[in-house]
Amino acid sequence: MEGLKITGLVVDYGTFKLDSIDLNLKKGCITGLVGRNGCGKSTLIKTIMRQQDAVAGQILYNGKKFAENEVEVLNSIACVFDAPHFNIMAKPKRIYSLYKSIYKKFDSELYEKLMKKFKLPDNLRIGKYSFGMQKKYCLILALCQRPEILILDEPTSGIDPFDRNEVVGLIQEYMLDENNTVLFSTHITEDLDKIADYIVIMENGKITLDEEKNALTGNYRIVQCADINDEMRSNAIGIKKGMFGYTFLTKNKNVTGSGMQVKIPTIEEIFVHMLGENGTYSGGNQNLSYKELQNRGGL
Amino acid sequence: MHIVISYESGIPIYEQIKSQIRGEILSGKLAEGAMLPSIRMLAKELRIGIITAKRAYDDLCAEGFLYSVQGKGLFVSKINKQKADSFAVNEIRAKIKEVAAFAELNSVDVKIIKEIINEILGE
Amino acid sequence: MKSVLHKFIHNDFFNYLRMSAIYSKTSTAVKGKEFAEIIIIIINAIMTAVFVSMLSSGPGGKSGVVETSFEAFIFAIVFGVSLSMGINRRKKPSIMYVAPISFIKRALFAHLSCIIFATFFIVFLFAFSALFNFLFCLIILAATGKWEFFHNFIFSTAGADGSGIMFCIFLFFIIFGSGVSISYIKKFSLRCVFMFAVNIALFALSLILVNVAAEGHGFVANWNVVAVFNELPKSWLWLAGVGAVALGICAVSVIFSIKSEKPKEF
Repeated sequence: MEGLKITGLVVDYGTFKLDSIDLNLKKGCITGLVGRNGCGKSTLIKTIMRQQDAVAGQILYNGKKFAENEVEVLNSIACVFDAPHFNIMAKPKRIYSLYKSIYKKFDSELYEKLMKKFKLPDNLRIGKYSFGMQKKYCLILALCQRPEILILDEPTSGIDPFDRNEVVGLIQEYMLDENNTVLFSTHITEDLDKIADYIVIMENGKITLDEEKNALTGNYRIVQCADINDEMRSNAIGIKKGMFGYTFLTKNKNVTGSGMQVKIPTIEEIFVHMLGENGTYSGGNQNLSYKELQNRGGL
Repeated sequence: MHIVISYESGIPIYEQIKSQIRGEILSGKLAEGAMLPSIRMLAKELRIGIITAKRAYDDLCAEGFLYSVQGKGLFVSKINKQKADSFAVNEIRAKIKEVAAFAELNSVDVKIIKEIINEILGE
Repeated sequence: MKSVLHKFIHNDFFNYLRMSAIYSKTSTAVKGKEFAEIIIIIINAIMTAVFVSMLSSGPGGKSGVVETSFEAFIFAIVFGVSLSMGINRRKKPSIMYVAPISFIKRALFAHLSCIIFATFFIVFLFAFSALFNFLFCLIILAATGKWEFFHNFIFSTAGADGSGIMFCIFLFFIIFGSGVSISYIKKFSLRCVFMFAVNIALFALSLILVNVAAEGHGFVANWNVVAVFNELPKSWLWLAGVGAVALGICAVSVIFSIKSEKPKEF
């Protein structure tokens, strides 16, 4: 059962285009959305939230069309945008009372609890909050709406490690209800390593990878080795040459060899190797071999 | 129930959970009929994905260590001694196979492995 | 009793009103081309102010310096506020478009809330300028001991002239409605052209009205229509006309809004 089903979505900015996006978010699962800056993550999220018009395509929310169930869909979906979507000059109290009257299911108890937990001052304007605090506040509002679909645009950016852990815990607490669906865009792939069920990678307005996380980490291996032969090269994804050898991603699960380090990749490693072209790690003297460096007296 | 997971061990998370729950069941710490936390609770408490937790439970159900009751939850099944022993033997066999493979890779003689085993077991 | 009040406050319209009040000041949403639009609105408003204060020799030679600058001030503010309100109404993402309210209600409420806001805003604006005028007269009195300025104050249009205020309110609706309609034009350059066109149309309307008021005085180069509104022959009829135009434009922009905001499967 899909919580959110997107088919053939095209968004055209003129300078930027989201091209025929197909995405199914399974109900009861967390889907992580990763991609480089400007690859269209926020645009996709805005389109899902109906804050951006699309040229073609269809989005089904819990199997419902937006055009026929506008109010119902808006009631069952909540989002943390990249910036607050309300007036940041207002104080939390005002926003709270407004939300309480807009959303019938708004959970005041949870709101009070979370405001205390994250130590967000009640008497300070949202604009005076730090970036991370604003994110936390938006997340609290979104969670308190008790939505069935929760869409998060980088909810953990700018949040300190301690509270980030709390935020991840909150999202999991939210997932205790199996009718809930989460789409989670982030640059902190560590969070996805832990809690994501599906990983979607976007590149230049297209989805280049959409797989279950366990399948992804299970099927790929990250290999570090001193030398690379042609057979390995043919299977390798994103070969990076460093001073002490090569690092690459491979789909060959049973890769072995002497002097070879094989391990299960993290999302970050998959991401870096898939999107990066074959080449070197950037910076410094790493284009040179160890020997050349020695000759130059670089070591 | 006590579960520790490690991201550095190179063993998939669901395997780690599986083997630890299995260990608790085999050692009798989890008694027959004991109820386990739900998939989502397990995922939340261990900070892992729901599918990962589900897979660990599903595998344990398939291996006969757990059984699920619709609408109630997951429970520990009755484990007979024979099954537990055969399972342990299989595990040990797999581990020794791993050792053998490692020895072959590093061209260590089989005799040395035998010696080591004897030494450790104190014969 | 309490529940009646509760029901009265907690309905979709009041929620929308509160949302628009909460959203109206958002500064973070101003980016890129929207910023250019704000600049154009400000330029337009300044133009309005300058024109009105420069060309204000009333038909009877009645308007004094004080009033004139107030007229210009009011004109410019009405223009700037209403146009930017209209243009920025559709800024997204905004709580107004995320909140669970149907698109028809949203389009209607956008205009209704603006009408309420405009009425309060302009009444306050006039009250404020009257107060300012009064203080100015007091200072003159204290400095020179002359009472004539008070006489002027009583008849000053910047004080409180019903038809002038009504005219300003209608003007607000007209500009706001035009602003909303303009915001649905996709092409940026065309949008800018229309923003200037609103200003020019406004001047043309003022020119016509002022010259009608100055019947028999020849052509009067005066844009200060608020000041001379009560001198129009059959001024209430004219007011009704302007009101009808305002409602018409608002109706058009409501229709525009409903048409454009209607959720569609792309």
